[in-house]
Amino acid sequence: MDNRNTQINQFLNKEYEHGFVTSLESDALAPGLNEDVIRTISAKKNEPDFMLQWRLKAYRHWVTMTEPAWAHVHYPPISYQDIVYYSAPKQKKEALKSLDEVDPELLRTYEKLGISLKEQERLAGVAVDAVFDSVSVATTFKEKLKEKGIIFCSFSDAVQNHPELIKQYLGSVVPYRDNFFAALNAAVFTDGSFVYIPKGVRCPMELSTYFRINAANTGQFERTLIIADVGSYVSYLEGCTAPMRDENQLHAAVVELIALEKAEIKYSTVQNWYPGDKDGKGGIYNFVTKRGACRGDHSKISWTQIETGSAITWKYPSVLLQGDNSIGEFYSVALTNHHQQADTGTKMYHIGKNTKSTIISKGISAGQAQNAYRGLVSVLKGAQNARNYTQCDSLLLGPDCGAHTFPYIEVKNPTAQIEHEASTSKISEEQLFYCQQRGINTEDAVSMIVNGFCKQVIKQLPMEFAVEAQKLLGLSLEGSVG
Amino acid sequence: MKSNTADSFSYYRHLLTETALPGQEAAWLASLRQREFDRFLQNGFPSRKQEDWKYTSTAALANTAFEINLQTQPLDKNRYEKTNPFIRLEYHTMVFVNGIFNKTLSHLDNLPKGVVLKEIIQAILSNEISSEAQFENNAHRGKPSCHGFSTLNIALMQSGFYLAVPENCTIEKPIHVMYIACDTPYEAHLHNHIVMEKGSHAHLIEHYIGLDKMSYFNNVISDIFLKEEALLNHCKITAESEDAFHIATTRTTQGRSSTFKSYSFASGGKLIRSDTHTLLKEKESEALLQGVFIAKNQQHIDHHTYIEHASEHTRSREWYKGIAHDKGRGVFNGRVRVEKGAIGTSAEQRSNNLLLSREAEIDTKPELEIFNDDVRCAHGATVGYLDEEALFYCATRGIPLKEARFLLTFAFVKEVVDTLENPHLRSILMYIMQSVLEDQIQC
Repeated sequence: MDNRNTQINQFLNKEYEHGFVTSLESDALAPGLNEDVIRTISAKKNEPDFMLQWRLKAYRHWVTMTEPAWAHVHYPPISYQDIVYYSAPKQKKEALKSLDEVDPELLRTYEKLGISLKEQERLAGVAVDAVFDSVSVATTFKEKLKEKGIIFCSFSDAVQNHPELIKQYLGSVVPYRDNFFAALNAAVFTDGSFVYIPKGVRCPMELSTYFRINAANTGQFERTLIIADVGSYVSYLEGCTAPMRDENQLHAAVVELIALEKAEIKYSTVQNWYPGDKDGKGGIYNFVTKRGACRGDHSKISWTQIETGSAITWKYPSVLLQGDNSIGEFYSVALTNHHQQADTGTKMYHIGKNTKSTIISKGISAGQAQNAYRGLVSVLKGAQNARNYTQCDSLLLGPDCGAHTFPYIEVKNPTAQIEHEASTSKISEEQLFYCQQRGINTEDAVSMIVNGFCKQVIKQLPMEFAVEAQKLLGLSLEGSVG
Repeated sequence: MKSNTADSFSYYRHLLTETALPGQEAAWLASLRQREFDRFLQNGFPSRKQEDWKYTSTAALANTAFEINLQTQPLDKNRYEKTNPFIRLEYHTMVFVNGIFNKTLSHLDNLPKGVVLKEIIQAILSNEISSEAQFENNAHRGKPSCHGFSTLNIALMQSGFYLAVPENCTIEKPIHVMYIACDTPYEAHLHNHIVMEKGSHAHLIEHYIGLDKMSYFNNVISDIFLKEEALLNHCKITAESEDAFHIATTRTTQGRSSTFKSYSFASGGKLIRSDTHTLLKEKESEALLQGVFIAKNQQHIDHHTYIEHASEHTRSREWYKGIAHDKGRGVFNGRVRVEKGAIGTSAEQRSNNLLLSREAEIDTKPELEIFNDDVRCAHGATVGYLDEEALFYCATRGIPLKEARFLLTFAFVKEVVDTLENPHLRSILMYIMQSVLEDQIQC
């Protein structure tokens, strides 16, 4: 056992590998938040008036709100006046025409992270929108996508070039009044990605956004809006990293998905923000609101998330199943180690007829971490023949961690069929013994068992991501054998 | 009858300061009542903003308060005998009418030597409960079972029973405590205190029954202390009148290798809220919580359970089945918490629910909070309608749809009733459930 504990510790003590800082000149506002800051952000982004008004409304509402305290997480109070709400890498010219004009230092950062924008430009595969601190720095494959009529650009570009779409859909799924962090985001968000898939188009490649927090004391507030028009399909990936710093940094993003009739959106996240060191110092507070609306009949939205980073994760990707026969899915692996805390899950609102939802959640907790699943399945009166299946399993590694399950089930229609199952246990001695008998060392065995435990979720990811996710799980757990 | 919250607060204050609530001779009780009342004034009734009361509004209750009885209430002997389903079995019986102990109807003569079963105020006055420390169930202080109603209960406690079973004593016949409501509306704050000494065994039936169509309010606490290897079989039957309010909190603290078996059958009442909180305080203790509820018409039935595994090798098993019909609403919230040192814990939780009408609603929330890795915990919850295939099977055998529905619904409930050990209790509960369901399951 002792021997094993040492191994665990070695594994646990492994450092965060994306923790470097890029030295770049950045254009940042002074910390603090008031109406003038919002006006400045809006002006810097050269936004039309409706955007500014919307931001101000959100800000005025936010001021009246109090921070929620119901989640199973603990952290010192956040001082919202000490956060820098706008930070952008300085660029020479107004607009970039090609990747060559992007600051080479920036490109190197992404290369270090394993996302070579240049390489990706040449090799077909994934179109990337890279968001650095608060702004989008580059979007690849723009032209190729344009041929199909697909719009994939930074949010600011979309505000400039497609204001009608923004006006129609912004805040229609996550209104600014939704919750404390969504209101804050609506007031100060600086960039993000925007996707529009026109009628009947199947997006030929994976779309991807890579978020990177670089500057100190900044909060990252991005907003993603994806609209899949009638009969279209898109698969979208999101990845995140941040440097190692002793202070906690706030990341409060909002993601809105809209699927019209017969459209399908697949949204995958590999979240690897800096989790803090092994004593729980530093790390990102990841307070995110993600919600999709299946507006049309036969539409489908599927969330897949691998959560390994962040000091605190607080997020509930949800689906509003408004259209008849619409489908919502949620696949999640949340891994917490050291002093990480996660309170994550989903909400499925069955509104239309014959709607279906599936929830598979796998929580892994090691070290002193606390991992909570919190989910809601709500079947409204008119939702005839709703069907939900939920499974949430937790795996505990070590005597000091915690795993919690809070599933809310609210049913108002007798034709609904709702099932919920959950289990919590540790890796059994027998399983480990079996592997060891076959000459597999403890660490590999644990990694194997954990991967097996998560397989149901990982297989939902696009291939390139699945490999990365598996590696990430292995790394985040290294040494936690127990 | 008073009509709003402010009035009821001043009525409560009047009761506490002007009238002689029973037992005030004991100085510790008088001071405890005052402190609990101050606490109540601070927090008031629970509101839906509190997570534990999210699905249950107490507004209707806060707005209709009733007179509290302090004098013995009449009940005709014949009427009583018709009401008591166990009358022929000569169980040890305690009868409360409209919140007041009725000695003449009770039957307490044949208790085994050393067993004390008496009215709680009497137990306080005769020093069987002689201090606040002995009276209070401190292990539950500050936990979810301490809410506005429980503080009010202690402040205004007017009756209840005290049961003490000595070491290694087994009471063969069940103890049947009946709380009968009849004739006039009332409000009762009943407090039961049960101490099971080492190795003792007992079977307790708490039975609430309303005879007349009227509105009244029973607010009950049962504090249960199980010492080493003690076993208590606790069955609660809630068959209140259609317009009644019933708030009950059962708090158990368990010693080493003790066993607590709890069964709750709830079918009558406008608003029923039943909290069962069990602290598995010492090694190898075990709790089994089962229940059935049938919510119909405009009924609201809410079961909250909280099991704390605080020591090694403790076990808990929980199984609740609910039916919601008409405009009925059923709520189940089961919470299991496993503390850091509680290694070798095993906990299992099941909540199955049938939703039989378009106006009905079921809210269920099985929660697990686990702070150590040496555990085996699982929970499951289902909500649905009767199995179409089973209905079809019945139809092919010539069973009319209406009857098939009844059969399937009854079978759903019977599964839990069948786990009861006492055959008399089982058949009486079958009878109660059957009549409730027969009334309800119409096409």
